[in-house]
Amino acid sequence: MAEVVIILIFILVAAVVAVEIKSLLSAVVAHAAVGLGLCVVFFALRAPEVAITQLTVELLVLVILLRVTGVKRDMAEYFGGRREIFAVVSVLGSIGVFAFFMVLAMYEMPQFGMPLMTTSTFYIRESFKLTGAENMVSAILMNFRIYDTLGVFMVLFTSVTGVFVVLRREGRIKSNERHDDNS
Amino acid sequence: MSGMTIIVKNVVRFISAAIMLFAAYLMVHGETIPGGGYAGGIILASAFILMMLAFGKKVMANKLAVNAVLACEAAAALVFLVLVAAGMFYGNPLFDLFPSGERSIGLINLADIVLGAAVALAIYAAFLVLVDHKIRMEK
Repeated sequence: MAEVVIILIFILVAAVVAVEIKSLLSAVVAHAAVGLGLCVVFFALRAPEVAITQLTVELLVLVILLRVTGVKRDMAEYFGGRREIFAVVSVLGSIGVFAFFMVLAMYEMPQFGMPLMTTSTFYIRESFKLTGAENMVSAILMNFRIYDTLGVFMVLFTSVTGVFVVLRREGRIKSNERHDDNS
Repeated sequence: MSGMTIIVKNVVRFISAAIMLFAAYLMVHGETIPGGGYAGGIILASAFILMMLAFGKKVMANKLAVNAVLACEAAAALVFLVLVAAGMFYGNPLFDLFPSGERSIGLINLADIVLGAAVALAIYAAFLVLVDHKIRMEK
């Protein structure tokens, strides 16, 4: 667990940097460091599927944030000389750390062609005895995986709230301003 | 006179109650028949939306106003959250809650009903917010 703690401290430092730093570009890069560190944590905890999802989402968010913050100036001033050596070394180091934990996690995966039925076999054998529900799908959705159901419903709830917030009558600040104008 | 023709309105008057009854049946009997909370909730929301399409948007928007629907939806979501969190604080899996003799269903029925209500209100609220926006745009 020591490596997880070290990466979590790195994530914490990167998060503080992302909030406190002045330059927007540096903040975006620090935010990406948070996400990629989390990805390495997932690999260290032997959860490659979650790590791959986190990696793809993080890269997409990085591209969108870079586009939104409007990085338009010439990037040539960042390269050349000592800076370039530092950039290359840090990138190679990050790839090394990433690959190390990825290989460790991949060794935990079942061999190619091995059936991955441990959890579902437990559900099929034990669901009636443990839950008493005749419908096994309902037993799994509402009992074994009720937190999964809760997450799915929270996504629905958040989207509805988002629609309401976008389409509401007027913002609170705007109505206050209008009130001040009238008085 | 808003909404569709009187034929559609009369048909919807008969049918909507049956649809709601079927949705309630799916929600209550989630542990024995295929269906459950999500499907029942979607069917209930479709009954609301059908009534709104038939009777006109202003009639239904007055009967079930946006703020009331959103408040009920949030309350249902909170109840569902409390039900799910109850399993954590009991210190044992959810299926050991409320043991009653040899066959205990636990939380399945309650969670199905609450989740169905919450899903129905959420889907209907999304539709209602959009309709409310259109009503305000027309003014």
